[in-house]
Amino acid sequence: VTLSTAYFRELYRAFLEAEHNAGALDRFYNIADHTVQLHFAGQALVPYICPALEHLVGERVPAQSLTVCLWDSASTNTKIPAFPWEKDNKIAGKKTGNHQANIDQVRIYFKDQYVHGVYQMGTNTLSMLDTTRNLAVYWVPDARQTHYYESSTPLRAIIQWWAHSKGLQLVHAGAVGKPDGGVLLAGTSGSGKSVTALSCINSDLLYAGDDHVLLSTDPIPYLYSLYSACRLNVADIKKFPRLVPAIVNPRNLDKEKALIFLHDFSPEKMAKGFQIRAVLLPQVTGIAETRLKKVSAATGLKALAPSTIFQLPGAGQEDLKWMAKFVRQIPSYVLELGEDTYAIPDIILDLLVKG
Amino acid sequence: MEEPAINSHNRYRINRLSVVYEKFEDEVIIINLDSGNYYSLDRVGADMWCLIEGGTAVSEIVKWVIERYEGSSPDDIEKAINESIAELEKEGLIVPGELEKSENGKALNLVAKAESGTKEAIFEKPVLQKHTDMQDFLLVDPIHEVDYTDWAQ
Repeated sequence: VTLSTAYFRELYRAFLEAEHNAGALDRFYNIADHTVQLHFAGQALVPYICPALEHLVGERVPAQSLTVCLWDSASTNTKIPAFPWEKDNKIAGKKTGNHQANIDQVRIYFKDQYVHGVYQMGTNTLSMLDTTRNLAVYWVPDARQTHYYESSTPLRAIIQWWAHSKGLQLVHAGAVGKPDGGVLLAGTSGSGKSVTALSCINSDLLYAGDDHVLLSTDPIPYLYSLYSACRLNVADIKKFPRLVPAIVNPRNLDKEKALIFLHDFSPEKMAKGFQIRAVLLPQVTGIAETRLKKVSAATGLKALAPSTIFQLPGAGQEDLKWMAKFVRQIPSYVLELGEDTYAIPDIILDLLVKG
Repeated sequence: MEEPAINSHNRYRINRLSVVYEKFEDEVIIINLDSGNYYSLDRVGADMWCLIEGGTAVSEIVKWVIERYEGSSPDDIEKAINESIAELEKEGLIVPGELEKSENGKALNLVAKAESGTKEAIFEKPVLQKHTDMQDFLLVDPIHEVDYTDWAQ
């Protein structure tokens, strides 16, 4: 037995104790045509995890594709077993790459043939998945201290590992579209994904996410919405005055982006999924007029792959190959964002019509 | 006088422990998972990458490029290739040494093409385009990874 498998067993036992102490609560979601069960010990984490997934609420079914057991120590009065790396003094001196990393920026990724685990020191979360049972455990010390980024894109690591087994890929991208087709919005943080996506909600285009979405290539390039959250830079809020009342963290805008759960604000604007017809790479340019410029698949991959791979624990060559296959199937365009953000939806709609 | 770049090793392989990459027709996208930098190499650089992938010796890479490209003297081409290889090594994308057993034969198509090659393009020194924007991104998001794969008990 490897440490990863042994630790997963200990962690699951601790979850059962937490469940015994605080009671169980189940929620079911339809993620990429699969039923996912969130099995909470107590209610403390529910308001931090569920809002971003609300547009995917599904029916309880007897057999799930994935079960995630969620708990925090504070509300369940249950301790987490000592982290395995605390037992291993070799780790203290281990390098974390070439960065000037401080402890907040380190994540510990561990896996064996069947079990994946990641501990994110910055957000203080532990996520593990046993792929043989499609059983996952998500733990935080205290639900009330959940980082707002976790609430906007909860359970990313677990969903990524599970999605691989379904032939799906979690990517760092947004998307807007109509039921018969849409565009993927790729690029690093700050490239303009959120502004582009939110600029479309007053048009015929629906919103499918601004940060992480699930993709499929079989048999066609297809997107599944995962999170209804939008995160806006404070400087961009003034472009969307209608959304101001929907900001859920108005008191923290000095240190956080503005967080909005679009499903709560405007459920009819949320899309569950659509065929992807193009990859758009938004770029803030400062030019007057927004325009599209065709670019190579390699350029599309450069915008999509690095930020996806660096964000997802354990991601590597397989994920890159997957995304390369995806960008080869459809055209890529740079979306040069001008001052006229109101023009964005028409440009995208026009592209979708012309193909 | 400028010192010519001299590679002390004649054979390199891709640093697969830290690097992932994808080849397109005229471009290679390379990501260094350790440093957070990513790169693209086009034309001659992409050919060079494929030859390194196939385990071709530096002297053979130089010979191949001289046979395939025109517009520069063999000495200039040799100097440019050596400098580019030194740069790839400095960025941690390649390491000196023979191919791992599992890698053998992967780029034989390009080598075969080289043997029947006719001059068809103007030589330009390979440019390794380096992107460091992920660095900032990595510094604001908590994503430095320590990997304990198959951590035995």
